[in-house]
Amino acid sequence: MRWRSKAIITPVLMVSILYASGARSQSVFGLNYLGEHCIRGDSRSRALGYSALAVPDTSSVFTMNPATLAELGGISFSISEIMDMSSIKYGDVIADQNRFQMPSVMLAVPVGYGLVIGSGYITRFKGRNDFAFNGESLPDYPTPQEIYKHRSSIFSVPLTASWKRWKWFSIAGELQLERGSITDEVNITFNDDSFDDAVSTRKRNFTGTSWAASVLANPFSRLYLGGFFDDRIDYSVEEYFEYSRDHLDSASTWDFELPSAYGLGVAIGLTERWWLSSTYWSRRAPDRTGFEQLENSIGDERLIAFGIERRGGIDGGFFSRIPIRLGFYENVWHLEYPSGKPVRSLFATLGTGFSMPSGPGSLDISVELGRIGSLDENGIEETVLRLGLSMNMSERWTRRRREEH
Amino acid sequence: MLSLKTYCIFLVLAVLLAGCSSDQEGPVVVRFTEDSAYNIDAGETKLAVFDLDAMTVEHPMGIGYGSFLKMGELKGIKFEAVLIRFDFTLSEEDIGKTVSYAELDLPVRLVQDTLFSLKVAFYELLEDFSEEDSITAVPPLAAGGVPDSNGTVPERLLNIQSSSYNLDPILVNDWLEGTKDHRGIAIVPNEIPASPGIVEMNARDYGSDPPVVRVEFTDGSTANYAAEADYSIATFTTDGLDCVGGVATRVYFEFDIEGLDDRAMIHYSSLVLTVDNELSLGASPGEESLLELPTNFYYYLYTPGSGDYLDQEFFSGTGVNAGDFDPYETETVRIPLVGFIPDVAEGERENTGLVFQSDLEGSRFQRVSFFGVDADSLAPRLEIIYSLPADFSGNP
Repeated sequence: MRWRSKAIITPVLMVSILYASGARSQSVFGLNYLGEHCIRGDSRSRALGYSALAVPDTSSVFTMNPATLAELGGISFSISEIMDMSSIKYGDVIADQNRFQMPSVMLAVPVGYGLVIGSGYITRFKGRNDFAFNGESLPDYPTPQEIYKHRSSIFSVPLTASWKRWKWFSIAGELQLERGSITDEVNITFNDDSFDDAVSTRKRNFTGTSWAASVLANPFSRLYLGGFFDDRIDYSVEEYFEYSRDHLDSASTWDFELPSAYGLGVAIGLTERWWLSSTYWSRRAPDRTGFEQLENSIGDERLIAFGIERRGGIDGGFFSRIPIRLGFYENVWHLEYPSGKPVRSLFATLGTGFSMPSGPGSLDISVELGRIGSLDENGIEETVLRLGLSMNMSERWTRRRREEH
Repeated sequence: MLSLKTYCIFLVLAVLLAGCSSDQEGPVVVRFTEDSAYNIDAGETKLAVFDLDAMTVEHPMGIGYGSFLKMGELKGIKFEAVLIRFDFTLSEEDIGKTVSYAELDLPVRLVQDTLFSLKVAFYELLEDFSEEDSITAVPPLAAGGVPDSNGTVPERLLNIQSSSYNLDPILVNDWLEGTKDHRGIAIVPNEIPASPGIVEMNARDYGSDPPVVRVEFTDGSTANYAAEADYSIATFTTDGLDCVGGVATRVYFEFDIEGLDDRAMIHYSSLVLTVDNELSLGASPGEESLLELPTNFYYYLYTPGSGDYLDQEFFSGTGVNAGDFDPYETETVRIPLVGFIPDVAEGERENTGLVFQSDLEGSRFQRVSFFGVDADSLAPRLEIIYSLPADFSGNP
């Protein structure tokens, strides 16, 4: 594919992905608290079950470990998107859903030997739910409908510097600009144009800054070790209540702390092409300020992940050349529902990738099949199939040759 | 190596998947809402009913234009007189001629029933009138009445059989020569019929076959002199909540919504009226059967500029709604008050009440009557549907 084709198709793909984000909802559990935690990482990381904290990458900016940015040799751009298809079961009721997430994007620029800076947009928490109930009917009048709309998007804009200090050791630091909002809207409406809607809205705008650091070490040729520390975030939350009657509007400000998180990872090469990887990631329970109803229902979050990758080769047929990735992970959410019963995501993953034609870069795809929650533990269960798509593009710096006359 | 074709397939798949629909989440999310894990509750939606004070307010006016002249009584609207002025402009060849015979031809089109008759008398008008005037009472009349060819003033019958009435040729001759001013004649009932009824005849505005004075001169030649202006004078005496077009009787409603919850977010408000169908009039029989005019009652609801009906500003104001309904069939009329009640509730508009009037007040005789404030469940009322604000619990 020529660069010109990529230049045309890429924006089209991005627009189509953005268009797709208009679909409804993330995990149904994301209705509660901050939303569903979007674990950092591109489709390669997802295909490895998010076990890729210590997996180096020479084409992706959107890895689980910012220290891998130092591996990039040129200006690089990554965009990553997930689509969910799920079946939610509660008692005898089943709801089938399609969902899209706002894509995460990252750009990295090498500024000197071994030093790469990057920035982008990374979703931390995401929730999106639309649901409706019939209100109590009134004599001689249409029945009101109570339409609930929940939108949660807490994201981070990282300003990353990654430095390959030694050939076997990279370190990265990030200043993170934290932004986002959680909006809940209740619209009571009637199926009659002569009726006005009654809208109640609560919007919480989160702002804050934080920092993060990560390392990637390669002490032996087939051993990589990764670490990641994400400092606590002290959000300032501006809360607005807006109603159809202006005099009811109000606003307030309060603080919310998201504790620090850390992750450790390892990648071991069994052979040149076959690699095992694993990640452990954890964050202490945040406070429940603003979510008073979740007393005793907020716990520690953790991720335990394992993956195996057969890396791409240069010989053989098509299936021999492409990488094959498999993984498994368990993500225990902060949310306990009911109290003492944490929501768990259990997923098996697989994926592959393709080199971008005529240049550095890759197109990675991932498939995740799993379950969020369980009927036994949580009373509600989602069977989820996730399709992930990440596109990494890079151009090497080339110096124009001076013509000698 | 990924080809352009493969790349496009991914693209199409992404768009197709975006178009896939999802089920409603309501049934499964109820798990979170019932036990308040998601503790946002829509506010309760309620119906508030407020009693109204209501009264009929007269704003006398008349209708100078219309296709039919009316005499008699119809659904309580009394047509007290018909005024007609003729154009007695002589043609060149008729100048100097003397009238030997004259008759008034009234093109009667429709009566209550074939046996219905009105006893009427003709009078000369002492003052000019104009169709543009709002005439609400019979103007001054010359004493004695208009005599017939015998010089006497007879009692004349207005019914479907009779439509020509002879006139004193000397009087008509004087009108033609201008020796006596012709300001018009008034046709006035001589007695109230045993049972109310109506006679309708073509008016000048009908466009053809208007009322005329037919004249025969002594030389045997004839001439017709058509009406140049005509008028039906109507009155109405209310005894309930009546809204009448043509005589401008309006209904004034006053109310107080102080008891409405201060947090109420209003969806809808309406003025609810119960129609007494037996008293309804959408159009006169002639308008309905001969002109095929729609018989719906056309209303206009406004909030008056003043709450004092003795103030002229009471008779105009800000429109709230307009519409129509079938006065013969509709039992309950719900008139949406659109933004009026929310404005009153917010204090953005003074509550001067509501006035219900015929939207054809100046062009059509219509009537609708409502059950009054003592009619229990049929009494007029104000209904407001509102919701309370959502309960966002869990605020720090």
